[in-house]
Parts: sequence; C-alpha cells; structure tokens
Amino acid sequence: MAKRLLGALIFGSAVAMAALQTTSTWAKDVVRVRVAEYSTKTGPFFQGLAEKFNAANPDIEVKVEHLPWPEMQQQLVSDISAGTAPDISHMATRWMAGFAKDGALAPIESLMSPGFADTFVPTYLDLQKQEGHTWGLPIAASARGMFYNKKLLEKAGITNPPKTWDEAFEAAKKIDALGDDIYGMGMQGKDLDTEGYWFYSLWTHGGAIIGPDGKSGFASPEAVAATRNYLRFIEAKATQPGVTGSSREDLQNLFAAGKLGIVLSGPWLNAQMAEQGKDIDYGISQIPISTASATYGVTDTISILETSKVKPQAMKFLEYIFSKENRLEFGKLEGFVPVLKSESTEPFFTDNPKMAVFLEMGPVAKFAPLFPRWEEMADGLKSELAKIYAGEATPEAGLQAAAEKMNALLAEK
Amino acid sequence: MSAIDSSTPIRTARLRRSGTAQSNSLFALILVAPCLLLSVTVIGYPIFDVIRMSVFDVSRIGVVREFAGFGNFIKTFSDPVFVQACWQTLVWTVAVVGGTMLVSIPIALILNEEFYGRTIARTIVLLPWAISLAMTAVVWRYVVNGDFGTLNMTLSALGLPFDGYPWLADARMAFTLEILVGILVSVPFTVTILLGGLTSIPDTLYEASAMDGARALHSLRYITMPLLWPFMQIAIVLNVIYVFNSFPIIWIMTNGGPSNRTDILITYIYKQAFAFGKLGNAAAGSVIMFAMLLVFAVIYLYLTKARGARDDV
Repeated sequence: MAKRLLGALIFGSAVAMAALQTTSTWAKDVVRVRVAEYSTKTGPFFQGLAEKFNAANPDIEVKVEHLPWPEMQQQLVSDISAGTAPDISHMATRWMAGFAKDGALAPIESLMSPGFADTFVPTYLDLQKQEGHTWGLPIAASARGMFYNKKLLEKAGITNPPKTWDEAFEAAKKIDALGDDIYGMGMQGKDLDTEGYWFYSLWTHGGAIIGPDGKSGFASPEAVAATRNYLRFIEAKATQPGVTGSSREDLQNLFAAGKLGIVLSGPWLNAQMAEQGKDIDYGISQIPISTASATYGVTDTISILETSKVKPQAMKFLEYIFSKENRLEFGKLEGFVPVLKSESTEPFFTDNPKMAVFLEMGPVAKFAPLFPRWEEMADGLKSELAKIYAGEATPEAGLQAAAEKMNALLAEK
Repeated sequence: MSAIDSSTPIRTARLRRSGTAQSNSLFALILVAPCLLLSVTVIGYPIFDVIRMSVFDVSRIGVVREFAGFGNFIKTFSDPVFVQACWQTLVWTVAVVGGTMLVSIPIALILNEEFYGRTIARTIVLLPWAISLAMTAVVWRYVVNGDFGTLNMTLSALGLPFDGYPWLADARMAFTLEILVGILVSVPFTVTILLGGLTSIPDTLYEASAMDGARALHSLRYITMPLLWPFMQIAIVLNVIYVFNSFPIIWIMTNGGPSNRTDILITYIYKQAFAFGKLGNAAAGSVIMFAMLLVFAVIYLYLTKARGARDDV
C-alpha cells in the first residue's frame, strides 16, 4: 500500500513538474536577437542587456546570438530564405533598403511607444525611413575624421594639422621624406569601404553621389577633381606603397605602428589605438577640405523581421536597448557617436578630444544613398578606382565607366 | 521506411516469378533503397533547387517570383566581369593543376625511393593537407603583407630591395601568389595518388629492364611514366574539380580584387548572391559551373571505369 502511494506520489509530482515546465516555456515569448560584433565586447554587452531585460520581464525571453560582421550578410540572406531568420537583426543600413524592398523587414512606426521616436537625433532616425515607413533603429552611427601622428608632424616641421587638401599634400610629402618606412598619408584601395575613402575627397570637392539630374555623380567635374587630388598623393609617393593592396585594416595597422602620418578613419580607431598604439601620440581633426566641409556618416540598423511572430515583444526589447543609460554604456564601450538627443550632451562625448571632433562633424555628415542595388554600384566604383589608382585608367575614363554602370543599375529599377 | 513498404508487393510478385538469384539482387536493392533515397534527396534536391532558381526571377531573400526563362543566363553572360572571371578560372585551374603535377611527380619519385628518413619526408610533404585551407590562406595573407609580412622581412634581411613591397597590390603578382599557394595545398593529395601508383609498379619490371641494359632514365621514360599515366589522369581530373571550385585562397587573400582581376567563377557567384542579392544570377552562374564540372566528373568516371574493367580481365 505504502509502495503504491509512494509510486503515485512520484508519478503525480513528475506530471505536475512537467506541466509546470511546459506552461512556463509556453507562456514565455522567445525573442531571438542577432547582433554583429564591433569588437569582442559587443556580444557580452548585449547578452548582459538580455539577462537584465529577461529578469525584469518574466513573460519574455530574449536570446542573443552574435556573429562577426563579415558573416552577417550571407547568414541573414540564407536564414531569411530558409525561414529561420531571427526576430531582431542587426545589419548595415545600406543592406536595409534591399531587405525592406523585398518584404523581409517589418515597419516599426506603429509598434513604437508614443514619444520614443522623438528621443533620437533626427538625422540618424531619418536614415532608417523609406517610402513612409521606419524600417529599423540606428544602432550605431559614426562620422569620420582625420587622425594624425603628432610626433611625425612635428618632426616634419608642421605645427598645425592640415586643414585643406593642399596643406595635407604638403604635409604628407614632408612626413614621407622622414624615412623609408614612414609614409605620409594613408590611401585605401582595397576591400570594405574603399569607396567611402574616396567619398571624403568627393564631398569636400563639392561633388555628390547623385547629381542634380538624378543620375550618377561619379563622373562629374568635381569627382574628377577629387580623384586627381588623391592621384597626386600617389604619384608623389606620399602614400603607403601599394594603394590597391591596402585595406582599411592595413592602414589602421600602419597608423597604430607609428608608420603613417595621416589617415582618415572613424572613432573605432580610438579603440584599436588604446590597445595596439598606446605609445603613439595622435590627434583627430576634421577631414581636409577643398571647397566644402564634409565627412562620411555611416549608420548601422537594427530591425524587426517581417516573419517574427513576437513583434511587440521584440519592440519592447529594442526600446530597452535604446534607453539613455544603455546607449551611453554602449557608446563608451564601442566609441560610437550618440544617436539619442539625451546622449549628445554627455561630457563623455563633448569633453573628450578623441570623440568631440566626430560630434562636431555630425552636421556636415553625408550618407551613402539607400538604393537596393547600392552594393553593386559601389563595387563597380571600387573596381574602377583600383584601376585609376594603379595608373591603368585615367580618372575621366574610369569614373565614366563607374557612372555608366551606376546609371544602368538605376535604370533597371 | 516508406521505400521498403512500397516495394514489398513488387518483391513478392517477383519472387513468385523468378529464382533465387533474382530475389537475392532484389533483396539487396531493398536493403540499399533507404540509402539511395536519402542520397537522391540530399544530393538531388539542392541541384534541382539551383536549376529552378536559375530560370526564375528570385528576390534577394530567396522568394521565387515569375518565370524568367533564360533571362538570368543572358544577364550573366552579358556581364563583362563574368566573362573575365571565366578566363581567370581557366588560367587558375590550368596553372594550379599543371604546376601541381610538375611539382608532385618528382616529389613522388623521390619519396618512392628507399632512403634514410623517408617516413619523415613523407609526413612533411603531407603536412599542408592537415591544415585547413582557410587557415593556410590567412597565414599567407600575413606572410606577403608589405609592411609586417615575414616574406619582405626575410628578403630585406638578405639585402634585397623588398622593404615594404606590396605583393597583393598588383593583380598579376597577387594572382601568381595565389596560384603558388594553390599548388602548395594541392601537392599532398597529388603525391599520395602518385605514390600509390608507383607502389603498384612491380619491381620485377625494373629488374628485367636493368638486366637488358636499360639506364635509370630509360626505365623512367619507358616503364614508370606509362604505368603511372592512369594515376596521373585521375590526379589531374580530381584536381581540376577541386581547384576549379576552390574558394578560400582567393577570397581570403584578395577578395577577387584589385578590379576583379583575381575573381574566379566561384568568388564571382558568391558576390552575386550574398553581396549584391542577385540570387537568380548566382544560380545561373552555378548551373554553368555545374555543367563544366559535370564534364570533368564524367571524364573521371570514364577513367576509373576503364581502369576497373581492365583490372577485371
């Protein structure tokens, strides 16, 4: 009798526990979040946020997965087409247009709490909007500036960091003359963001990616002048050798090793310098100008996917990420420009000489256009730029080819 | 499961009609049916899907829209970068496979001789095989780095003017280096096949020819080479298939640049699919590649089948 009772008791409690287990998992809405890594700290940061969020919201369970940037695009494309996409995904803003057009993303304007949209710096949130919908939130924003090695400038007899391209050219020549393995100005000709490096010159020469006629501005007289500006550095050998073999990382590594006088880059270089270039005394100032002041602004986006079955819960987590304190912590960790109005006044950004210039340049920041076929247009430009930098094509002919490719892609839409 | 169930009625019907030999082979067929079905599904479905995508308009997220006929193929062939990549694939395959054969034959001949420390030498030759292709490519990318690479460091230490020489900046130099790395990683596999071939040549042939007064060069030319030829054929065909498809070396070292001058078909297709979101074009490119590789696969099957038949006799 006692045995039977014990058996029943065990059975009963097992059933009860199983029931409890299933109800608790059933009751929880699982939100899968995928973030790309800016550094080794990105993944743990979002995992920490998810834990805090889960503790405060017992009915939601946020699961964070993190991937390296180079794998993001391919993984996202594969997952969406296989129907296994996460609920929330991080992406480059320039991919967003294509995903939104193909119906992979959910518009979030109706999911946001009232007043939430107003907490953002309008420039950055506006970039996430297309055809009347908001397709995501600006998870990271950066402007670019001119990094210069103070010691090399001083050795070359230059007192103030160059403000114009002509000054930069003279400075680069003098720095380059300092030694065989010291180079004047870094010039990018390979891989990610090669076109971005060219935009600095394009925009500061008054050029534009899209001309007033709505067609490509790659072959405009300003664009040719901008390209000639870079070519004179290359022809005078005032850059690192082998421009077409140098990626953004290559230039940053040279700068961190104290071999490069000037390089144009973004706030993330501060983080690299803190680790690898501790003994390098460097300053950051505005991108040299010719006719106009400008910089390249880039944002990354975090979106909710159309296939998500837990969109309101996903939005709740996004709003949690974009609270002032969480954003501030993220900004300090990764060194990005503030995207919330409340963040912009924080002393961390305004009083920090290594961050202030990126804030100052915010108002003159220009952005790459949000065309679904932009990646292909940029790739065509990149390919022609490599030919021009290598001396295999004239700026006119190369840029004309890039513009024609872009116009053909624009006409295809 | 379902495969067995559905074939059971046939089996019983056949059993009634014929003898044991037939029922034995039928039973064997039933036993392999699940595996066969699995293989057809796993191998066949992706091929079917790629062919389907190649004749449809496909969105970047894989939604198959309207039928496009040969539209994707026409677009692919009219892209000058595709044509350029085709030529470069040809150069890449011929150079890597040719180079591999030229390097591997002497190595295999040497390793086939008895000498002190042969096992160690064989292990060293096979070692690159043990390292992943991607890792090898990453290492070589660092080695040839202009400012921090060990290659330039070594050359400068020898007094040669290579300080800061940018190896990957020039397309021709970059492609040559990639081909050399390609040869390096293909040698172990090829040497293994050739060594197998060399071991299968009976020593008596050499002894007999030596008695007839043949010198080493003669026996190499008239005995070793002809008897090694079938193995060389297989090594060539298999290498063509592997090298033609090889992605990591080029992707990691140059990403197909500068100016697409080191792009081969597989890197071109990857960019079409995952950077530009043109899955239809990528599928069309894949079908073209598949057709080219199929030719080599058939040649391989023909070669191995011919050999098998000869062995049977």
